Amino acid sequence: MKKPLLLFSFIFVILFAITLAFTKGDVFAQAKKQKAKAPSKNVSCLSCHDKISNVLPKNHKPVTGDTIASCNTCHRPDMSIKAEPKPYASTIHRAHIKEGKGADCMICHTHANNRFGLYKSGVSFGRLKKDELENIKNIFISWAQSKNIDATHSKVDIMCSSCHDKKLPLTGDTVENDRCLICHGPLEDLQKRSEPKDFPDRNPHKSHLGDIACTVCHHSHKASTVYCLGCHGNFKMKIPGG
Amino acid sequence: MYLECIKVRVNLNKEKELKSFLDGVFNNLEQYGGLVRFEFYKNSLVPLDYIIHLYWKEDINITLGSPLSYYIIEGLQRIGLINHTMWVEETTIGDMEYNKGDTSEDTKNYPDFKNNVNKEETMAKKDEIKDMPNKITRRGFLKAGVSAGMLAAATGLALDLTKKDAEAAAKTLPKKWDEEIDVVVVGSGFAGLAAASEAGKRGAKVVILEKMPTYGGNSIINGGVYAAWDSKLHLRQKLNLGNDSPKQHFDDTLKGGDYYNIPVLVKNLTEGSADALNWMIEEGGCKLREALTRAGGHSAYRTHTVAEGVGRGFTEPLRKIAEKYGAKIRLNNEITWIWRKDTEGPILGVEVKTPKGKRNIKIKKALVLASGGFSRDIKMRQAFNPSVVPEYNSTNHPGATGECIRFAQAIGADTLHMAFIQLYPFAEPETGILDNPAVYPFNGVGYGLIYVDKNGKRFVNELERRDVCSMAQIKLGQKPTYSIFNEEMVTKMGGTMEEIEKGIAKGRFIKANTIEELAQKLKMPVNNLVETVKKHNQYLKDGKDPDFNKPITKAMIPLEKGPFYAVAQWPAVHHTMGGIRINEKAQVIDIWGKVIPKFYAAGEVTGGVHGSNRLGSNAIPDCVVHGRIAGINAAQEKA
Ligand SMILES: Cc1cc2nc3c(=O)[nH]c(=O)nc-3n(C[C@H](O)[C@H](O)[C@H](O)COP(=O)(O)OP(=O)(O)OC[C@H]3O[C@@H](n4cnc5c(N)ncnc54)[C@H](O)[C@@H]3O)c2cc1C
Repeated sequence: MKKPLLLFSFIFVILFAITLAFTKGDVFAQAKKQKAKAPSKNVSCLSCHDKISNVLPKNHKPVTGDTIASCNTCHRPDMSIKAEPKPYASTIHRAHIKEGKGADCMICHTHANNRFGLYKSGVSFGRLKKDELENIKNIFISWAQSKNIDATHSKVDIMCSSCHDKKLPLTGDTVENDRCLICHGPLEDLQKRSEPKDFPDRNPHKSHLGDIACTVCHHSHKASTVYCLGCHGNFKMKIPGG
Repeated sequence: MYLECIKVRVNLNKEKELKSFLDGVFNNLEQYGGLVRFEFYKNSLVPLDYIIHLYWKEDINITLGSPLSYYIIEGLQRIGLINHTMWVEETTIGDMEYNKGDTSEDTKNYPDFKNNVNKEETMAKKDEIKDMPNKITRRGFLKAGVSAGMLAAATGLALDLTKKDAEAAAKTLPKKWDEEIDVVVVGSGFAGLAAASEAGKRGAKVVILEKMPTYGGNSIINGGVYAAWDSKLHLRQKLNLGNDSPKQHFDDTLKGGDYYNIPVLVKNLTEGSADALNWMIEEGGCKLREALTRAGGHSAYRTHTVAEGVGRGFTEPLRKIAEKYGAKIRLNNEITWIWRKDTEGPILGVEVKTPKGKRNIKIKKALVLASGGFSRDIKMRQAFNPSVVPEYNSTNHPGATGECIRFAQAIGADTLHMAFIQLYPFAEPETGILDNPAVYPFNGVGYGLIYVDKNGKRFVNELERRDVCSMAQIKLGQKPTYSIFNEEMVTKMGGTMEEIEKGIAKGRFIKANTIEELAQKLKMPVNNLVETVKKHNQYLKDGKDPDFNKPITKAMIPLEKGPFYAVAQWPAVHHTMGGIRINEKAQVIDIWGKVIPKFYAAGEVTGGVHGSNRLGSNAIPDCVVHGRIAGINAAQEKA
């Protein structure tokens, strides 16, 4: 029932770990005191899993140690921010959110002096305030199991950085069309795919409003909305995949 | 004591009637128990604006307006009152004795009534009020609060505002600014883009704030027709379509607006439209079709159509110019307040809702409000013109709401003509959009197109103005109605068979080879429609329409030869002629007739240009011309 606990290494692994820490405010105080060193005894995978080998994929070589640090050595955090699937980080985050095993962010991640990092990896992902951390935690939960586009992306291992080509997306950040089109483009093909058979000029990707942002309709962390319907209330339009 | 204020605007030169009416009221004041004093001022800077003050004893409950004030307003309506605001304040203006005064022309109780406007006296009066200790007057409100917000209460629509409510409406000036910008433009339609271009060109740092996730507002979805007496292309001369002049355009516009228009603003429009068009062609690469039409209410061929056939053909060139001069458009940025410290000082900044939270922007040079009309603001529509019921659809984009007008009112800006709301009579019935087929009913009437109701009967003179055609449909109480035309008319009215085919595919145009078949397809009593068409054909031959007195012309084609077409239609809210009062420099004017420093407005958010009724194709030139004026002047303000 448990998914394999793979090695950590992603930028956004970080984000996930945050997930769990936040019910208690004193986690921060604690983290602060420890100055990003050992995040505490919680950090042991064995506090939940009987054996590390139980959660590793079949042909994984044996792992020594019982913290995320054991994973980091091979699965280095990917700082490349490429628009591509990130299976390791994706799997390990999703596994823990789905199971809801109380694996709070701080088991693997560190958050001290507003710096967000990964335990014993020597990596800092940047500055994050407490409320932003909380926000990212919630977005991670949505990413793992909502009906929104973030969950559609999660299914194919697209992590935060695959879309947000910069570190640590903050509230109000958006995604530029060019980024979406790396996977979904080129635009002409997309337009061809979305051309309605009955009314070809009702093509949502060829708006009479000109070059508009994908995010006008497609929202990742909340329900998408068909902007056209604001005026054309009688159009039968739906956004597939959330 | 309560002070009840009635602010009125009267129709043109009805001053004499107004005075005699008020004399009548004034002579019978004793019958209104509890009335302490009655004053009457003329606004010395805005002709046609008057204010009446009624002072009531405390024990009289007039929070919802006194019977006397209703009586006065009703009376004034009869003599052409076109707008009024009424509000109630608490005041302790001393226990002045009720003084009936005399009613001669020189009376003190009419301090500013006659046209020998005595500005000093008005001012003195205000000061006297201001200097009285321990009392709450309108001024008092303003002093008590930290920003001019509470005035919202005073100029608002509500009648039951007491001091407490007014203070609750106050907003505190921000303690710190998040950013400083020379010129802030609100709205990214024709007016905003034109203003940003001109201000940017003059070296100002310009930001356009747009609340929607797309730019362009109503402008980008509009029909793309532009009225100008001339342009560098000289289409009228080339196509040999007669004469025109700015003066002729001016006269048409005033006539079309029932002379409610503010003439200096119309002058700006008609004298600036050709130059503005050339500017968009030269600097923005805008392209026009090689055609010129004579649109409803215009006496000359002066309506230009942009190549794209939609407003985008103008907004894209304007956006290009604006961005060339460094203006930045920030989408998803909604203005939520305008900052002004008191009702004397300049605009200080704006509060903005952004995706990253609230921001307060300090404005160094000026604010240009180009936030468009309020056709989609049901509450505001209802407040000023209850006849435009909520059930109406609208041709407008969803962002066409009036919050910016409210913010402007709240800091003292005057408004006018708010009740003048135009319906487009032939919108798509289900959604209210003005799509391509919805243009045919408008363009075809000169060529014999007829309107029929669900019973297959005509109901109006098809050549009537937009308001008349709309009302005629509404009175039928049966939605929708239909336009009937035949193939012969299509190209004559500027349509194309390609458009017709597209419309048929979408189910908008219904096609049939005979009138009988058409009636069946429309589920209409066949005999009725056949009879109606037969009669109308005869009227065309006789040159007379005994049913509705339509002036028959030779260009009208009888509905004899198929194929025939029908398109469903119903009125939808289209344009709000009223809005914020500006002067010829596009400066916003306050309720006392003074310029609000560092505050400009242009486009549909302003009132007065179009009077009671906008002529088709006059809105784009209005927006572009006044946007440019606002931008030029905004850039010249001292930082
Ligand atoms: C369907 C249609 C067809 C038309 N056809 C023609 C035509 O052919 N010829 C003609 O002359 N006229 C036509 N008109 C009228 C004309 O298009 C409009 O009057 C004109 O576009 C108004 O321009 P504007 O710049 O004043 O406002 P808009 O173009 O409406 O722009 C105002 C912008 O301000 C934004 N805004 C509002 N409130 C806020 C806020 N609080 N914070 C930030 N942003 C805000 C809005 O979202 C909007 O984008 C048509 C109108 C419609 C609806």
